[in-house]
Amino acid sequence: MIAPVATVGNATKPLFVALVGNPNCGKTTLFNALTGLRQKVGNYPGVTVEKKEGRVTLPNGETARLLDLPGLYSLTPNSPDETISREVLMGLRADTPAPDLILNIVDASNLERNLYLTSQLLDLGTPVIVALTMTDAADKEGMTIRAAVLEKQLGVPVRVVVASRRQGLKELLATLEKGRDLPFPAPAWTVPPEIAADVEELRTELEIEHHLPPRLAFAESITLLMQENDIVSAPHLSPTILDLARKTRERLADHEVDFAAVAIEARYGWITKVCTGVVSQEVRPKRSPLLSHEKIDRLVMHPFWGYVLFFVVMTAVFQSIFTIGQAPVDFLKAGVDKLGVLLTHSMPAGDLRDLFRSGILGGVGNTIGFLPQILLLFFFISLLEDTGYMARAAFLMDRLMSKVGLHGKSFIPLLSSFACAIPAIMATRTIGDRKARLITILVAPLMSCSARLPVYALMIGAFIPGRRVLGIGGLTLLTLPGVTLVTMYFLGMTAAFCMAWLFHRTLLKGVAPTFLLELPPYRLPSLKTVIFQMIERAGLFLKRAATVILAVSVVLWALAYYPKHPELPTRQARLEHSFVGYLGRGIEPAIAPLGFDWKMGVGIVSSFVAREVFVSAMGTVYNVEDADTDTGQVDLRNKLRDDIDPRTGRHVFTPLTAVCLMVYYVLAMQCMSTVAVVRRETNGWKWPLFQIAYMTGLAWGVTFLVYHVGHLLGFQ
Amino acid sequence: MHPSDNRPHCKTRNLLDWLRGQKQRQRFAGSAQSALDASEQEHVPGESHGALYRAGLTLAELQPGECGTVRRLIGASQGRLRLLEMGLTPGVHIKMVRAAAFGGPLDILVRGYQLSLRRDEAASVWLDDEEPSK
Repeated sequence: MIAPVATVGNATKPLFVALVGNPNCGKTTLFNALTGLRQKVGNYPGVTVEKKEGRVTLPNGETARLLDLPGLYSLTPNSPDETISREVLMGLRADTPAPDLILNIVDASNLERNLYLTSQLLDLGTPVIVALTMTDAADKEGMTIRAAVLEKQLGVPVRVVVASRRQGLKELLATLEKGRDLPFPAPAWTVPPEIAADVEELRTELEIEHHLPPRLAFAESITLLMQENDIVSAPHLSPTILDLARKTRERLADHEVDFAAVAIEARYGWITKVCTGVVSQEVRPKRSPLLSHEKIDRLVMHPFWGYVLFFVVMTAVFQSIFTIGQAPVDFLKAGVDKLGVLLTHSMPAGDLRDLFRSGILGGVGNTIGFLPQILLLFFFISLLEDTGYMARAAFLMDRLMSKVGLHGKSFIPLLSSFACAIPAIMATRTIGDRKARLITILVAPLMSCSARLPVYALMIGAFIPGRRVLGIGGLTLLTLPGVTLVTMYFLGMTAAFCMAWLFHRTLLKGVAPTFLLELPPYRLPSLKTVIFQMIERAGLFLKRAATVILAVSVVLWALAYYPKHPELPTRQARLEHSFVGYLGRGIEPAIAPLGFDWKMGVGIVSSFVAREVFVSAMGTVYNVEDADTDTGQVDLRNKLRDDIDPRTGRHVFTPLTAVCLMVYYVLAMQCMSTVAVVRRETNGWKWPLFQIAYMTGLAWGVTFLVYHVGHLLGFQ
Repeated sequence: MHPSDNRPHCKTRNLLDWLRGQKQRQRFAGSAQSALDASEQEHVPGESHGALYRAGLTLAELQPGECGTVRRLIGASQGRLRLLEMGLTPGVHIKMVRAAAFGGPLDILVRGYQLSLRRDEAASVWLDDEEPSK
């Protein structure tokens, strides 16, 4: 038998290994432990499934490429994640070569369901190595897993690894090294007689028609017959094949043979047989973690206390982002200020000094200052995900989700939208239902992403007094800034739900789709994985600061600095007659009803590129304005507080304006990258344009309301 | 012991709970009746192995703490395929752990792990009307 992959792999090319496993099986931890920082994240061209690749040095000095595929329960293509993974493993993608070796990560504490994917992988005819994880968890549950027996049963190497303690990694690498010489595994299960003839017929046809190797043809024919209709988009298959598959399905249905049930039962039958020899369970483990998990679940998923806890957790997360994040933010701000002073004193006055100080330092420096808070946000998100709490939250929220036409799975994208709408919109690919997915995409940018945090932090830091709201004795639990921040996040969430409900009822009517979610056991998250994720996201943020934000800052500085009008008496007047001044004045009529002045208009227009640009834009504008003061201070907060409108003699920024600006930023679609991703995901301009229109309209309307109601209530 | 055997997790329920379950079932009966085959009329539940086994009903009708054995899955292809692949195959033993408030999803124990699914999906999972044999 000729394997399609072994012929490609020769000694000169690095060994190409695909990591495959169920969600929550410890795949990411193992990937990080193996590759360290030698990894890069990208996308499969044309689709937005994340492609994560890393390198590892084998004991013989050779380098192997590791491809981390998305977490999967099955290779049956129900979602884009599964489709891509299946195509990669079968060597059907032009952008990724077929792997030489599959490293299947199997969770020992959940062996039965994990082995389902293994049985599908063994069908493919590519060498497979099994890494058995979570043996410590299985041990605590009173289960004994005999890895040697499992190895014999599967017919492929099985290595026990505890990635967090780096146990078994050496042995695993040594096995990987020999990976090329491994024999092709035999198919694990036996096709039951009632469907064997049909599988064989389609398999032969696939071999002839598409010159597929026998094993791939076998795997493909099973997949084709599993579906009741053509869910698999199979452009690579000829009409003859699809026709044969359809006819076979119809014939089976006429004979009342349930192909999917028969095939899946046969796989699980094989699994049960394997497990009997491999797993032995103490009937009554002394201290079963299952019981302690159940105790936590009783509180976390309680019909009343569960929701209370959910609310408390969310509030605590956002309050601590503010409390813990404030010190490093102040420290960074002070650093930026010092740098500004240093620049003022060390460079001769002129355009160049001004470009550096007002343009670059004022713009980029002020934005980078918010890095600690963004890091904290990602820290909490990955913490909630890795402990298993996120799935419980989805369980609690599903009823609400289904009421507004969303999927329980929509909850995960919406939650990760707190970090950034872009990965969130990509994550909607796990939602099979088209309408639910589209609604999720449309409302996801309403959740407050980390790019809004700088705007909130600037406004709250400058205008919301740090008054105590809740506390016991000397211990302050909640402050007014914290409450304001939480309110902004909840405003975004509420808006997302209301709009989803509206779309569900009007534009995208349909039934609520299915919901299947594993509730993984509670686990202590690996600090390394959490930190890796933080570094990854921080890197992306800094990359943006170094590119988009820098460019916008420089352009904005030039627009604010030229044309020069030295004859004008005040700085304010000079700024008003710059390009930026004209631009701001141009849109002022549109935003004046919201209580915004033309300088904020400049911020809003320029931050259409990305929300955090608002901070850098204000930084640039306000620094250009007093370029001739020699203090060199660039901290924006004081400047905003001190800004007085020369015509009215009143403060330009008031607490009410600050709140209005925040409300505007909660609701408005101010992000080019999101627009680009939505366009790619929905295959056209219709939905992104609609999204810009509805979000801007919503933002304008609500801000108008807040401003005028606030005014009537006597707020300034 | 068989690894998918979750029976030790099942608890004995007292009569009061059982009566409450009966009431619940009557409420469910209306919606479930239409899908009910003549041969699959409800049977009287029996007591065995210290746990209460309900028979001839769907997963959606189980009360928290109750167990059952899957007989077959009906319904739309894609959802059914997913349920089967996640291990809800005929003959597998399951336990209802809890139900979310306001008619939210269910939390069940199957093949040694916790799975959450919506009530209408659970209603497509028919349970055996015979006591599972050891």
